[in-house]
Amino acid sequence: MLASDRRTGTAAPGRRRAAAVGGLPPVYGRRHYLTVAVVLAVIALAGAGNTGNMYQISVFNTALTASVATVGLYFAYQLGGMFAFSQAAFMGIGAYTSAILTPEHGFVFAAGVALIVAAVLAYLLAFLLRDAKHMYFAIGAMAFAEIAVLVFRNWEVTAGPTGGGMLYGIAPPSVAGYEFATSGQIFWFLLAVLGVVLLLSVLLERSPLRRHALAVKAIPQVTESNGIDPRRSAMTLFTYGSTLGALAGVLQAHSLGTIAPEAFEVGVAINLYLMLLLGGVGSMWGGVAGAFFLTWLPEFLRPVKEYETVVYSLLLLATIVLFPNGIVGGVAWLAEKVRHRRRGGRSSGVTTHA
Amino acid sequence: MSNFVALLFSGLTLGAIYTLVSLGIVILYKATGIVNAAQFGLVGLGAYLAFWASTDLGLPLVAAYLLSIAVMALVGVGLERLAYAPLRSRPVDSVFLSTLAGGFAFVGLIVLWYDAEPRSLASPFGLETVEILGAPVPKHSLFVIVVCAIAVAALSWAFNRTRMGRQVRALAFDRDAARLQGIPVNRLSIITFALASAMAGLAGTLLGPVAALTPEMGLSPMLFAFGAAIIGGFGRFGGVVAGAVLLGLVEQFGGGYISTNWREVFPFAAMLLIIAFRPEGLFGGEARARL
Amino acid sequence: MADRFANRKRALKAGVGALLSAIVCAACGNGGGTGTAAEGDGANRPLVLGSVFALTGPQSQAPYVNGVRFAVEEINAAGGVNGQKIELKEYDDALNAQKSASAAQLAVSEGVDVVIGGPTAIQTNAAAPIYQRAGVVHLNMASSTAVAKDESFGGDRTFRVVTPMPEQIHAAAEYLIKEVKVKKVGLLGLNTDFGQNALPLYAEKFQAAGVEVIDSKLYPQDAKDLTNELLAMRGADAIVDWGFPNQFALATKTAYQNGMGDIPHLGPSAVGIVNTLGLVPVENRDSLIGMSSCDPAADTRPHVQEWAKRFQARFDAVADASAASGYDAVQLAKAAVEAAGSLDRAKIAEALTTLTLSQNTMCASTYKSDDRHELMHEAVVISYAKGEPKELARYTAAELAGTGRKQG
Repeated sequence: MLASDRRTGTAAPGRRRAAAVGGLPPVYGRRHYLTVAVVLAVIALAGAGNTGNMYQISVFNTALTASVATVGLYFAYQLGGMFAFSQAAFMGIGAYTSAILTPEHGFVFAAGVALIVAAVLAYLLAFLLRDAKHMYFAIGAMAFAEIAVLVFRNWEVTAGPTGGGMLYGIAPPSVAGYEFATSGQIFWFLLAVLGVVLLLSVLLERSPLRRHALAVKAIPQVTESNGIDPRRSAMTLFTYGSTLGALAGVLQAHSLGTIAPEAFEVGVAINLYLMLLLGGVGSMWGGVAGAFFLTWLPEFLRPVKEYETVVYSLLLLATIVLFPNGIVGGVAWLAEKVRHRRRGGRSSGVTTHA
Repeated sequence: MSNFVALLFSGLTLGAIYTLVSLGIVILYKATGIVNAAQFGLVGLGAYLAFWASTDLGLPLVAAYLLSIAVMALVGVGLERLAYAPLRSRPVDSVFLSTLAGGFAFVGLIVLWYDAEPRSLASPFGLETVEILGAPVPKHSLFVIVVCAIAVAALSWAFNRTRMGRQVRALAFDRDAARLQGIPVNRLSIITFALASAMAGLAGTLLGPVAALTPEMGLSPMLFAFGAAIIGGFGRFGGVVAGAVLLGLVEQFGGGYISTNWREVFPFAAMLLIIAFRPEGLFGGEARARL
Repeated sequence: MADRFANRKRALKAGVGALLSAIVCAACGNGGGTGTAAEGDGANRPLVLGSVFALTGPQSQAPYVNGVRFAVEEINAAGGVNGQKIELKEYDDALNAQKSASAAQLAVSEGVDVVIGGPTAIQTNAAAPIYQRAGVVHLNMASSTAVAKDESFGGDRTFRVVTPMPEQIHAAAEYLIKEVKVKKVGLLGLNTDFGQNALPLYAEKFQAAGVEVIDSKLYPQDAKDLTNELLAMRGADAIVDWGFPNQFALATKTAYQNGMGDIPHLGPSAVGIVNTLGLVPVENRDSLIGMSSCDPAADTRPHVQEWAKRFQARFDAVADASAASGYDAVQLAKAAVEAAGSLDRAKIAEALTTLTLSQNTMCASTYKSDDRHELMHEAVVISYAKGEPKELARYTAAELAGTGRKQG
């Protein structure tokens, strides 16, 4: 049973059916800018409370980078309907392009070029696979991803000083002469970037593009007869999502200082998917929540590290079976129960404080 | 010339293994509508089971292989009972992801059981070779090809000639109508799960002596197996076999005559292009998978 | 109305979700300690040693971990360092860069003085700058990374404990050229930085000695078939195969099947693992030759043989080169602290640049730093015929030091 079904007994049939297919993403109003601010503020506070501790900050940084990638995945997958198993490869495209161009051209220029290159490649891939659906797209994206990793490994341009695509000594990000050298400084930089990404994404969510995308997913025949090319919006969303992935790669390269082809293999993309799934596939906030949760989980599991993979997978299966709306959905469900009880809803006269 | 022959046989061997994995996926899909992306975990499990049977239990190799396949069939039944029910009602995308996660759960179990150190599974034929047209061909390769051919023939016969096979085909065509006809849907799905799992196990035991045993050994073959299924139109067995062999040969000949370190680009590029331009497969198979 | 409802719920949801994560993070934040641990001379506190290897992930580096543990146990049993027992903290970096960075940060925040770290480039490239910035002394076990003291990699707190890869390559080439007297050689390598870096170096050395390089092929990491590569090696007097255990085993078997089972098949220290784990049947190991910093199984020094027996009894596993290196790394840390007379990290690093350790060492016979903070310059060539390690040649520091530097 899904949260949306429980909300009131009178959910419209269309919503119910749509909800059964994985949940309609919410309608976005202006209040969402407030949400962006809230999320950023919370992360900022948590981070600021820990700036003395480099370890905590480094995990935060990893989570922030992953969030950018998962938000991108949300757009490509949930709205665009495309299994973007190529997300890690695009991270790699962004990372390598930026790492190679930075020494001569500076961070901002290099990052910019990286995003443009990624966007072009993403659009081409989406165009190439425009008629492929679901699993076919997934396999095609995986094939692309494997080819990309091979390029990172073999191409002289990406080879690096010791060959094999192993790059190290990548400069930290620097904007307008200010270098974000320490982990703490990188934290604020990453937070700012995530903020920009979230704002941009909310903007996109409020645009007609999103309505088109949702319509295409739910009622493809009708939209087509209305003159909306169903594939156009999916391709645009995939391009946007993959470009965000490239941005995440840029951030990763410059905050860790080193990259290798292994960091961008298909397994990493599957991991990002798991983050989105756990966090809640229905919204970009799910991407952020899942990224943070799954970045912290292995750190928690350090004492029992051998069981990590098993815990991971079981958690995932439990999520898919029991909590299809992920963390965000679970929180929503809790919030509803609270609201329901407070209103003295359909429950018996016993009031419990949830 | 002998180079060509050597590459031909190694390509056929890889193709045979991809075929086995792919058929497992396709059969399961036809009977239950589930695309099982956990197959790679099952391949690894099959290989490690054979290793365990031959080292810890001390069984002779062929017996170890058979034991592994039998156990994998049971694992398949277990999967059907435990994991199938909650998945049945979910949309296809969700199922694909869930089974993918399930595959990693199997990998995790293997790591818990045997850790990630490389292990070696021997072949009943050791390293012996046979000379064909001037090239030394490992007997194990011939063994793999023959076993695969037998498996394909057996499955083909089962699906086209037996009553059970007809029932499965009816099931694939229209599940509800089949149920109304009195076809034992549940029993069939148990059988196909066991079969698919056993095939994955078989693929693992045959792959073991070729490469080496690592927990994630099935991931890359499964990717090619999906490719083969797609090339074959996700329908006829013949198409799947042709697709798998094609990918194996493209990889080996591409590596041999063009470039070794770019070797894997060739089959992946082939997959990408076929999905882009001929998603219904190269062999005009049945209606594309209803995805 | 439904809209506003949804919006407020969204904000609430997102806020609570983020808040939960943040609270959880803050809660575990208190356990981590502060960023800079006491750097005093610490005559009153024990040496804190960090061991950072891959405990989970695609490879298991248990031998290194056990080597380090064993050393700590034996040293502590004999009284410790400066009268204080060593405090050992172990960390897992799962063989990936992000985990390595966070493991390094964790080690730093938990007050590690000297860290002994992972043998592959992936593990150390991300971690080395972190240790350097924090002033922690870093004993690096990776042979294939950049020069220890190089600032794009480490700095004045970074030292390498194993023989650098270029020197190992020089030794291997010398062996093939002078001892085996090859005229034609085939080169194989793993298609990662490990192999890509090595093969050109080999080619250079062979060509300079007038040996013909028949072909040079790189193969992928999960290669399931190496027929093509081995066929390209036909006609060679020896094959150099610079890869990891799985692929090396596969290549050996394929070589055997293609009638090349009698020519020397020389690889890096991974060959020792091929032997120990039995990845190639015993009867097919005649061609196996490994180039390593050391190999306790073939070492004739009595104290090493006794140590290997104790190790076997303690861990129920064969003591290999990794374990020996790990063991020696701890001994180096001890020697440096004793020479420095304190736990001041700058002094420890300083001591490492000047000390010589040659007593009771299990891997090298002597550790002494050169100007690039490389502590070991020895190599041995081991044959694994019939599964019994036997030393074929030994190269000393005098012969190898400096051969790793690029000309001009």
